[in-house]
Amino acid sequence: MIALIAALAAGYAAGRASSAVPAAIPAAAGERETTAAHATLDAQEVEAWVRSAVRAELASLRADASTSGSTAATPTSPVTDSQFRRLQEDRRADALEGMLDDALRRGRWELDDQIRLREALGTVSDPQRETALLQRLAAAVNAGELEIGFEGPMF
Amino acid sequence: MQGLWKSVAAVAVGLGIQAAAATGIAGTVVGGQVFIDTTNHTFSGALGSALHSADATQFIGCYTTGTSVFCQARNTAGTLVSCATSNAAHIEAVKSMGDDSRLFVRYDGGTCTSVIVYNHSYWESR
Repeated sequence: MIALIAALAAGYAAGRASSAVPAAIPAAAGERETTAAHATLDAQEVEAWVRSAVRAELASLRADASTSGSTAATPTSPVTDSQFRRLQEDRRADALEGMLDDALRRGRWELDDQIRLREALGTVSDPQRETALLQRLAAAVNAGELEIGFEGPMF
Repeated sequence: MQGLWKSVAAVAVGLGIQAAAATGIAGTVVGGQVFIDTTNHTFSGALGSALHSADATQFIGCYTTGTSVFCQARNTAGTLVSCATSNAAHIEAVKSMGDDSRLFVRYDGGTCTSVIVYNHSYWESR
């Protein structure tokens, strides 16, 4: 079917290029030879035929995808609330880790870092990521990689 | 555990067990200055002793988010150590801390591997 569509499109394009009705629609491999009537189709008829064939082929592809369980044909499936919350939490945790990376690059832990970490910790619901972040912070302190720029708790 | 009691003993011997009469408080008080051992990766001290120390440098303590614990101490020399853990027993131990608590923590890298809280009249209250 695809081959037929390609052949039709090629014939149509050729007709457009020469501003003339295609002399004949070339036969695609495996297809029955076209009749003489096809040779007299004008450009609009060819275009309509191609459109119809393409629509039919797309419908067939969608049907195949739905019966095979593929999700490729449903790109607009809604994100569930839990998925959305999970994504939000992941982004917050990413931001926190980025903040720690910045502090390590500076070699300093400032009051602003303390406040940001304290405020953000409550929003990270993944305890493993939270603890891992705090352990990175602690390890950096122990290794002398972070100078504390204020008096008070780390977060 | 044997190492822990050695540390406790070292603190007691090094700082001396003060007679309560000397402080005007009935009972025995044990010194609980902040002690950091970066070789064996431990730190300890009593909250009250750190608070009332002559220098303005010492501190020791832990705080918890509910799912994690972060412990930290700084001694007279200014050495700062810290660690974090999500161990449920460590979290419970930290939640039991009070004004009279003394803390002993063992750490590896940034991870607390042992958190022991002493709630006892031996140590100076905050």
